[in-house]
Amino acid sequence: MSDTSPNFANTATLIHFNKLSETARETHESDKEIQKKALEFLKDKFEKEILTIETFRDDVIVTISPTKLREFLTELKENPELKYDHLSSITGIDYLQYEYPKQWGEIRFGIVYNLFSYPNSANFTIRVVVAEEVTVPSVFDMWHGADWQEREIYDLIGVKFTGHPDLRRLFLYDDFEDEHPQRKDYPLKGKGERDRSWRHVRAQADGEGVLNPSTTHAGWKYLDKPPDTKEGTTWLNFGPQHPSAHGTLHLMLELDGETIVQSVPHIGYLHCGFEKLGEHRSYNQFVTIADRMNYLSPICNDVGWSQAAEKLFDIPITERCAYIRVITAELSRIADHLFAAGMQAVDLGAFSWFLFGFQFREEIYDVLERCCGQRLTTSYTRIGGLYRDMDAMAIAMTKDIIKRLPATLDKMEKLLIRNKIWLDRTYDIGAITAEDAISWGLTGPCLRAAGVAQDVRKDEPYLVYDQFDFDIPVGTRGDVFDRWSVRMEEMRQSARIVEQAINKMPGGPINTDDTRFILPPKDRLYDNIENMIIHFKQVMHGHGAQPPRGEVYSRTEAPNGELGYYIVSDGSGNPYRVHVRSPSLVNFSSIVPQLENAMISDVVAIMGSLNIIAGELDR
Amino acid sequence: MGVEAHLGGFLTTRLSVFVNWARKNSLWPMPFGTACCGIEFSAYLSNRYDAARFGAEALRFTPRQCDLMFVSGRVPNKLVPILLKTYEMMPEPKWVISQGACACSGGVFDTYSVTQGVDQFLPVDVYVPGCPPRPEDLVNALQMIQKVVTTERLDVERDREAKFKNV
Repeated sequence: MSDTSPNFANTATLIHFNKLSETARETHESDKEIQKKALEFLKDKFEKEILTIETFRDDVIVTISPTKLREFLTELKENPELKYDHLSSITGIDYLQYEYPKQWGEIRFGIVYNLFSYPNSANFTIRVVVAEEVTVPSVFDMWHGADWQEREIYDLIGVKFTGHPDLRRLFLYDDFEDEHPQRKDYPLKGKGERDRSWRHVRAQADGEGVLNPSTTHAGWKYLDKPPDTKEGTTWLNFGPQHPSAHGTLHLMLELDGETIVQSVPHIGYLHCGFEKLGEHRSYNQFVTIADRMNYLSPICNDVGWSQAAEKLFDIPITERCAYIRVITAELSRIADHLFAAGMQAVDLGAFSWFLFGFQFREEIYDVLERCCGQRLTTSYTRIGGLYRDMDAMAIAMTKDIIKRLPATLDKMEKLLIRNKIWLDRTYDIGAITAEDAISWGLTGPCLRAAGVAQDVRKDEPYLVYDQFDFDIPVGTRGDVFDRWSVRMEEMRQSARIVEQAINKMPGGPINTDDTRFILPPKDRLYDNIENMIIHFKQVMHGHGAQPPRGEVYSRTEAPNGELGYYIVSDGSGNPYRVHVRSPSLVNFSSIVPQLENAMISDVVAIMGSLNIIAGELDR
Repeated sequence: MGVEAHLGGFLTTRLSVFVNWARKNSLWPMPFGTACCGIEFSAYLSNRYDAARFGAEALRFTPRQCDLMFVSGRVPNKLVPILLKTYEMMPEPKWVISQGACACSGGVFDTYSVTQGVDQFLPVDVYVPGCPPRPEDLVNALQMIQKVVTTERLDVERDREAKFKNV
């Protein structure tokens, strides 16, 4: 615990938010101009290195060979007129069965870097293409957030990165030997790894009766030889079965007394192959899979996925649909923050506080259930619309929740804000500076707590977010306390958005009238041959909507941060490749610097404040 | 009450009936919550559904204090040794509820890394279908477990061992 914890006299100044003004972003040049400018700079400097320049859905993708990759990215990052300071996402693609342009030469893999410029609100995409067995330079020293994303590509695709400090498998274990599941020649159900792992486990259970983790499972192998252990320190396993590890997080801590010298996170205990599954499902079917990724706020995943698919298909959605998506997504954000802040409190011992929040969560479940028939895994959106309209009853229930929410939040805040134990355990714990936060790729409440006023809803307003008046709360220290207060304030802002959206909500249809995407209403299905045919065409495999060839990246602001989907389409009814830029994965990698020199009791507080959702982390 | 007064202050019963009566009303759950079902499990614990009505609200994350394991959520192969180790740490007698489609059968995740049903490793007593099951389903499952507990014999260890070997 920190010596600088505040006394009661100055706690009132703790929650002090700099409100970002509504018009702050209007002065910036539009992002397309910045993109154009970046392209010109790159053409001037590296004309010979550029293989192709494609434009798809207004986004430019520049393809290069790996030799000059770092120079390219340095130019984009350091050039004062461009300032692409945020590495959004790195995607690995296996182009084995894809008809790529001839200019690329004989290649197998593509690595796509999605950059974003916080000062200019502009994005840029660079693709590196390599043949098999060719390495790609690591960008870890430029953006620390690349750490786990590169390891993920190494694990699932098998591309090696030179200069990466710790390149080893991220999700999978040694039963996979030289296999990389995201490759196109790897079957969905594996090459017998499931059986092999089971045989190992059964042999142990039958033989000794007691399982020995150091030998049972290849995933545990790393436990045997921790890197550079110091003299006189102890290694401690935190998780995977630990109350505040919430299921499947696992940290190895090197302890000097109670102080943490270094920490090694192990993840992948919930790796289920979401992205591989996406290649075997149609665009509408993947909505149900996306649901199960961040299970605290499934609608935000649905909205993100539908938006990415709609960008690929280039279909507009109706205004009413956009409003309903905003309302349900913001309700989900409130529910997510209630749970996240509540879990943070439970982990530090405040159980009743969690129950206060859960009461509202149940009421939000009721609204969602009214809308789509499910409490948790909602599957509410469809490509081009929604499953069902939001009826008057649901709107009345939402209004009621929004009316009572701010008063309850005030009451809840009062319970903790002057609590000495709470302050001691959160104030100045896990603090991270704004520069570090951007470098580690933090997004969402954790980034804003560090004082960076960034929110995708403001940077690149999607749906109808530009029509609402709301503020972005930011903290000053980036510690656990600030993250908690940012979440509390964001709930109030979400309530404001929902209130405005309900008042402004237009009537009209919720679905596009494009019969390629939207199923005809059930009651008109059996008395009309045309509707029958439309229905049949859509649900038959290989007959449904088929997008053009191309690659899109679409970002939304999920409760945990930037949720991005990268879709590669080869023109068939299923995506060729789906990649999810999950906020939890990038946020969790930043726990390593936060834990340096922390006390062991702070681990619980820091893990709680990052709100890691294992489903989204491991996918 | 009242019966004891007529019997002179004591009541005779079979020991197993008495022990099982005590056990079924004080189950100590061990939540092995990995995914979505874990969230519905916490809904089942909190205000509205209130597992405390059945004397089963005292969660313990240390398996040595528990006798009822909830496997809530999907179980990838990498997690199986941990699940088994946790299960083996629980003292006898113990019961297992497999919550949700993924824990019961793999659910939608028929992929290279997901175990297709935890009953290949654990002796599951009650399966709860659903994706995820509603908290009411969990309350129902708990009541089913209470029925299972009442039929438990006292030489349960031998029983349990035989059950595990057959898996």
